Amino acid sequence: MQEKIANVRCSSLQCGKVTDSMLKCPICLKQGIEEVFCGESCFKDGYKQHKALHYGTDGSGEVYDPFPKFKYTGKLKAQYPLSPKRQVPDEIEKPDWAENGLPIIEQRNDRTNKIPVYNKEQIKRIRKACALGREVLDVAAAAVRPGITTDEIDEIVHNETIKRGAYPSPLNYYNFPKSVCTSVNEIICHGVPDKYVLKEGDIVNLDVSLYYQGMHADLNETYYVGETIAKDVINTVETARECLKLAIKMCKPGVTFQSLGDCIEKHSKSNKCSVVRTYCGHGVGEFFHCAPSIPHYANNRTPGVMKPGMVFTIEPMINEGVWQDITWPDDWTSSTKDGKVSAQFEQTLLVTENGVEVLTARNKKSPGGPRNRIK
Amino acid sequence: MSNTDSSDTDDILTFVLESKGFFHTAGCEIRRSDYGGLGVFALKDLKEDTVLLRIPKSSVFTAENSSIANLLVDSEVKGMLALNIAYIYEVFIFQVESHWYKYLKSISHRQNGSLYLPPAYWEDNEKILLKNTALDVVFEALSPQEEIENGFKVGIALSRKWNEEFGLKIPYLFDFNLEDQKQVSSNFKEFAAIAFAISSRVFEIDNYHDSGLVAIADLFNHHATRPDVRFESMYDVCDMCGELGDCKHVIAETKALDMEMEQRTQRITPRETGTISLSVIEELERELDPSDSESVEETVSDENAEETPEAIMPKNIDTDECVDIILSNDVKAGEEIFNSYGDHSNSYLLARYGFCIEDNPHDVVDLSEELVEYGQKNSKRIGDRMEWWEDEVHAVYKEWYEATREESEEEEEEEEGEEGEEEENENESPASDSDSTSSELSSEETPEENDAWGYVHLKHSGKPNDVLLAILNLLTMSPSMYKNLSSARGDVEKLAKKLPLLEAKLSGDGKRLLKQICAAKKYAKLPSDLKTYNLQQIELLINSEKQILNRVR
Repeated sequence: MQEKIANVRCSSLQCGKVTDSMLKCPICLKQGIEEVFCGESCFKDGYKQHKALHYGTDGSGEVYDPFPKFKYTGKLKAQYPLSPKRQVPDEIEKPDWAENGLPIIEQRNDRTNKIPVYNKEQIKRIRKACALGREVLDVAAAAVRPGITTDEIDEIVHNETIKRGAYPSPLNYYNFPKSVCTSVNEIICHGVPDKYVLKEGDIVNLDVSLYYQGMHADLNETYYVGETIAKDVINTVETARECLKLAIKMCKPGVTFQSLGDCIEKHSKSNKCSVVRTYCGHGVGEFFHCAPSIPHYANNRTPGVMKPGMVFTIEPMINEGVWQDITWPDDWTSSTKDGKVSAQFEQTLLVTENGVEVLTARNKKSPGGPRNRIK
Repeated sequence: MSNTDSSDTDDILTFVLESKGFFHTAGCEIRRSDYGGLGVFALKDLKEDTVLLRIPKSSVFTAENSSIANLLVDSEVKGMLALNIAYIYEVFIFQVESHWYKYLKSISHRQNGSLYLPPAYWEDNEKILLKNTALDVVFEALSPQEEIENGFKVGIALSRKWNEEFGLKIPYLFDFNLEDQKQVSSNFKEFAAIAFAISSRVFEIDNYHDSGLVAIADLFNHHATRPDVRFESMYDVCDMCGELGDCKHVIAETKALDMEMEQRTQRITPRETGTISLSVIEELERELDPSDSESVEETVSDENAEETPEAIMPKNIDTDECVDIILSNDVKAGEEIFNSYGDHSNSYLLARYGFCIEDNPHDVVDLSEELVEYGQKNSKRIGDRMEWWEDEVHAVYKEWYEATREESEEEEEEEEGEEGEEEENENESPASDSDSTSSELSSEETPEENDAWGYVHLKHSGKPNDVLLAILNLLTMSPSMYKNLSSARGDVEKLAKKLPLLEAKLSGDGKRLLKQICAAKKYAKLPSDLKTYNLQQIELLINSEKQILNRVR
């Protein structure tokens, strides 16, 4: 077999083009990272994201907080440097943002009230992507334990995804730097895998999305780290799990998307939890995110009625304390405003003739699963 | 005139509150109006430019915001019909499950138990009374309204299709045996009443949402001459998502263009080697530092905040994404606050909104039929002049008239431009100009093509409008002057130059002719007992036209 020489690509997350340039970042070189840039302008454009790879100001290789002036709402802090961008083999089919970060086809085609209805052949491909997504999530979840870093989980997700011939959808989506979102404790969603070491008593949400044969799958679960979990934390996680289950039960043709939020918030409230309002469920399939938009809070007036062949996610984010969120200076990580924990579960769903099918459903071997609340 | 029950006002206020909307409850209240139905009244003296109502566009009921929005888009149903069908599903199918219901249920299509219909669907004994009024001859508002009749058919077909495809319940309005003519006609009438109720309340929102129902904004009554408020909404938004400015669609298009350009101008750059200079990195660090946003921007609450509307208005709301009702002048405590639905005649108001006002300054008396009849009776004497008007002068006059008018409009626009509010869509609402709402009624604005005798009327002052003046002058000018004008026959340019002749003040003969034609105008005799609401409106309308005729005599 002939050895294939991989193309060298510009390391700017906003460029990503194949290049024969040899221009490198001097700081990275010192750290033993050999990333190239087409030119100075590419380096400048992508500097904010690129900088996350560099060591702290003291120049030591120690883990550091890149946002020392930021008022974190809880104990969790960013743990830099990030690991360099993981590579995806050339032969894997990629969405358009893999290069420069902009999902242009998705942006152009998503019209607010045009909810795609998929045919049998398309559903077959979505089903396959979803099955792979479940496999990847289960492998990653099995690795969750005190002592592992979220970056190591990212490595697992990345490798398991490309091993199956799929592209990890989050990678470079609007310049997200990693292949999975890992959201620990008070992080609501979009946590960026870094050097944070999971410890006994934490919870972590793994949000896996992948692109296979032109279709995206999207699912996530929140996992307990270790055995000793606080009572309120278990309540929040289990409430989130139940909220998703209840909302899925409602889905069938003719049901309005606005009614899902009522059901979710009602259950959340009865367990003394709150519902995040900033992030919503969404259409998925040909596009990573598209219509419909599905808020999880009550009294929303999101448009749309379910029809057979629609594919979308429901992914309630349930907080122990207040529903408000704030975003870290990395422009991604979303944290609860009061620093109390947040839990989330997500499935990709297909509306069928009479009901709904969970395309990313758990199986008997799937790690995680419910725990009893502590009275 | 709003057909809303006062018992619904609490629900409407709750709806606005839940919608993150704002109603200036400290400054005004909703209560019964002398003009019928509810109205909005000032509780205290209010200053010009006060925002009385601010509703996020996401809380305006439009087809795009409705529960069945995706079904309407899939079926390519647009405009008022889409809004009507969306309303019917919200109110009759989803009901309390729909978070629009609290507001929408307040929109009644009945009045005192009977359907609230446009004149076209009134009983024949009422319709006959409107014969020869502008409502009849100008707006043709007594004949079946094609748009509503077609809309009903589309509604029936779609609701059945959606039911077959995925079991969506059929609203009872569309769910009946199509063979049963009685049922067809009674359900159609209810549909017409709903369409009428909605069309009388809509506002034009923007080029994404089209027409929409705005809670509370639809309760302001109409004033023909001195409205107190204006409706504002940013009209130019992305027609795919309704967002203003750089939405994802704009960004994607720009980026796609950039990439295309880049590909075309394949730069051949020298192969770069070495490392980025440290000074570049230092500069980048300096640039990043202030914008590192490492401290959260906390919304500082102003401790000195007074009880101004701005202070109680929901914060973090982008005003560009809202529609507003704003005071255009000061109002005094206790006064009713009026909107203007546009400079409309009673005929238009009755056909479109279901009410008339006394002595409406925008009223006209149409004299086209009377004029033509006169011409036929006197064809020996003036047949030649009548024919010439019809065959040539009218068309030349129209073109010349529009050209001269355009000039003066341009001048006006320039003046307005200086005020610098062009971006805003300050339409005189409810959506007075949206032609999708009623094509039959739009003829008020533009005279129909090739209709030499159309748009011929008396103005409120009793003076003939410009076309009528021109015809009267043509018919009564001295033979020598007529000979002079006739010399331009067949020569459009020459004729146009002579047309100012037709703008002259009416001669004695002209005045006499006008009186003669006016005398030919006949209205139906009204019954002595005007018990019903409809009869009362008819009386208002006819009396107003008669007063105009009286001004000629």
